[in-house]
Amino acid sequence: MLSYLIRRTFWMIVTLFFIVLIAFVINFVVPGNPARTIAGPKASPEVIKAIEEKYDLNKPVPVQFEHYFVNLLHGDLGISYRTNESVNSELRTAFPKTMYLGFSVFFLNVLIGVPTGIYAAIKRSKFMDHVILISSLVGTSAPTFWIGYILLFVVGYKLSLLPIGGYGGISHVILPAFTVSLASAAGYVRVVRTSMLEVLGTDYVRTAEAKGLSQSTVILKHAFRSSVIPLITYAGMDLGTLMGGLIVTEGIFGWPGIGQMAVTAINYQDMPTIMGVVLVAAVAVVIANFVVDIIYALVDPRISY
Amino acid sequence: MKKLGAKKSAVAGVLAASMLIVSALSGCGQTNTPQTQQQSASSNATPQMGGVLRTWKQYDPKSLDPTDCGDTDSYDIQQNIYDGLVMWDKSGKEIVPDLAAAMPTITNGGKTYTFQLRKDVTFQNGDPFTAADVVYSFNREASKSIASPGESYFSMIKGMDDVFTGKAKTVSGVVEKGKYTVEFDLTQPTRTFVDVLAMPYAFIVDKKYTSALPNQAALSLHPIGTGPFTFKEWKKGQDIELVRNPHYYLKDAQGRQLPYMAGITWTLGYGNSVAYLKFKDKKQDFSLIPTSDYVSTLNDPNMKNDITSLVENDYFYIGGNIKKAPWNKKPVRQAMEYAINKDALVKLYNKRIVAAWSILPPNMPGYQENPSGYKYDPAKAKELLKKAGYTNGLPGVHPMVYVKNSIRDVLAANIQAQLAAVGIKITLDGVPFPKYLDEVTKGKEDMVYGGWMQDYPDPDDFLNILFNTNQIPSNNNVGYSNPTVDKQLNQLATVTDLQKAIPGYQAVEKQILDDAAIVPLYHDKEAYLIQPWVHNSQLHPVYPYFYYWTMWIDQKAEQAATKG
Repeated sequence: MLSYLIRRTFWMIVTLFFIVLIAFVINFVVPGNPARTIAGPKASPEVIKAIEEKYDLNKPVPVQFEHYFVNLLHGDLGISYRTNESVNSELRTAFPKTMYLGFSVFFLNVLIGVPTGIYAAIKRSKFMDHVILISSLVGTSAPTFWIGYILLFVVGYKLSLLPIGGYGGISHVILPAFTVSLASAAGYVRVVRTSMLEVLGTDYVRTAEAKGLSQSTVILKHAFRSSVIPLITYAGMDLGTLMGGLIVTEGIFGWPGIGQMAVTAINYQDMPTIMGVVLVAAVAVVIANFVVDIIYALVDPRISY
Repeated sequence: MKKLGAKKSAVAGVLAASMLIVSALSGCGQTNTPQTQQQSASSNATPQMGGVLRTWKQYDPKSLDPTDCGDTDSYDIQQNIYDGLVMWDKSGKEIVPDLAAAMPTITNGGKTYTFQLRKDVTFQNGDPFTAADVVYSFNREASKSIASPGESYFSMIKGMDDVFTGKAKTVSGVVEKGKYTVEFDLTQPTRTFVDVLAMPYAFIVDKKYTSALPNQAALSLHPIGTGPFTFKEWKKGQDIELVRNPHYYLKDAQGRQLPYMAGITWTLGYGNSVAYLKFKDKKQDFSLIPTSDYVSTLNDPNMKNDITSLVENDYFYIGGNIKKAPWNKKPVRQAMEYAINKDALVKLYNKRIVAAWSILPPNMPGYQENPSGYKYDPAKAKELLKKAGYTNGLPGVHPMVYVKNSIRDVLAANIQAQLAAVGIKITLDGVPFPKYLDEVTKGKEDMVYGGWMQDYPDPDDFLNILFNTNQIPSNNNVGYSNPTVDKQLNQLATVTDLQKAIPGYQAVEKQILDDAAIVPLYHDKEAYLIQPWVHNSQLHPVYPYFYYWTMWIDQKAEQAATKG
């Protein structure tokens, strides 16, 4: 197990290094000069030069990368071109808000997706199974911005039940979380349904039924437990993605997370901020992967490293 | 001012694509041309003190530091925190004293401007305002380490550029002549000097407070100025709160202390459609109108009275790169003048624009409606192409570069179809703002669909910057060059009285259009919603948004409306 952990950590670092490298290079491949974008068209060449010097943009790309990387190793993500503030402090403000929304979505996904998936498996090929599958297809296919606006219009404006957008407590998080969850819970339904169906057909489940155990005991204690591995994989990846920021939903509801930060930064060629958000999102996915692997071993005695 | 990156843009320096969205509004007051209807809620009732204006912005401002005030969102907030030496009056036609006690005395053949300062002004932290603060603020703007995007607006001040390039330590042309006297020395007489002094980059900061900050970027998060409202809090992505500055130096005509309102809160982060819902729900006092709801709002008996609208001092155009064939042939360019049905564009955009037949917008001094007498006449366009030797239309397909957004995509497609109808084939090259800037400021494009918004209402800001040969390619993107025009523009820039220069600018504008340098398309017409209990919602004539310090809120009416 220890050697596995060490190997995994090593590869995590390698992965992150390449993500940083690739993201950094992409910033220089896209056309446009950030100093020109900052200065505006009317600025004199001297102004552009001064801005290039201020942000090190006049140095060759490898030198810039070296600077960036060395600072990164010290935990310094640099200064935003747009706001002149430290990217670290901007992320410290925005990331907890993304986590708040992300965990809310995750909670709803599990709350809605898992029981519905189990139910659909039990009712396999029956009317309710079809209803669930079709609605999950609709949920996955409906564009987030459309769902978001409909919810805002109906629940927020027409019914005045919840606030119309903005950041705040539970009442503010419900609509954006539902907006995402209506689409992403559908994924959970499918994963749970499929793996449950596999398990429900096995001998030991039939044995448990034959023993005369109640249906709920059979489903929850015997079948669901053994079908949980694909669910963990799916949920882990989902959580990792959610922590990377929900660009569309944050934009619609005015949720001040890192998704919003990313959009503003991209529009502005604000390279340090773009890099900061990419890095946070990458770390979230890589860590989620890692944690999923560890949990495998914990929940399934057959898996060991 | 600058190229319009997107739907309205910056006040001055920077036009980030992020500003794409929020509208800058410029225009004029109630007494202006017919194009400008300010139906703002004004009333004869006595202004009431108190009440908080609940307004909105989609994006966080870039900065609350004047040296970084290059976009309208930053300006909208900063104008409440800081003051400059001078400012635009409500008509948008005249510059009046702000922190200066009077307009400057101009000596030395127009090269020396001497300001007497007000003696009754304190900063929001209680520090007295003196000439030392003015000198400090201009040195700060010139500072190399700050690298203000607006520095080059002040290049006419002696020593400004030397400090900026590191050749000097202090700006020699800004001199403290006494506790309340400041002298500016210019390298040459420049009429637009007072115009640039009214720009946000020239806002005055507190020397004692600002110089003691741990780093200069900190001013943006903890701004202090002399303005009508004091900064309270900025929660990034959520809101910005300003509260009334009880020691503001301005009083109204009846001697009441300004501002009237107890504060202003901008909520941040969500878009136009959500803001509009919040406005309808009376949770917000201000909103823009989403394009999809524009017509229904205009016809809504409850909402149409809440609209304040005016035509902005900007213009959008298309043009071929005159340095390249076939655009080097004048008849080809003239053919384009006749090829576009601008009314179709206006209709397509729900009348949120007005058709342009001139370069200068309606609220700009010197405006002429249609100096060269062009009209929509596709037959004439074809005839001109024939005259240029293109009987079957122009050869080749011409890519037209523009800053991509959903509205421009639609308008560009319509332009494409209209040009095709007379035999000019183009492809649409909608790109992000940084890429657009990269192409057009190097003169690489074949055709451009661009825009320009004023820095200040002086024809020089449009005609000289966009059409002088010395501005090729950075601002004169189409590569227009006419020595006669250049000579006139250079001479007109030194005329100290704008009124005397106007006939000259009108002649220049006509010449540029006769040469068909570009095809003017339209000017933006912005419409804002403001709740009926908010009074005196005067739009700022030069920069966007409102004169917040004379607005007031009928709190009883607000309570009654929001309860119901």
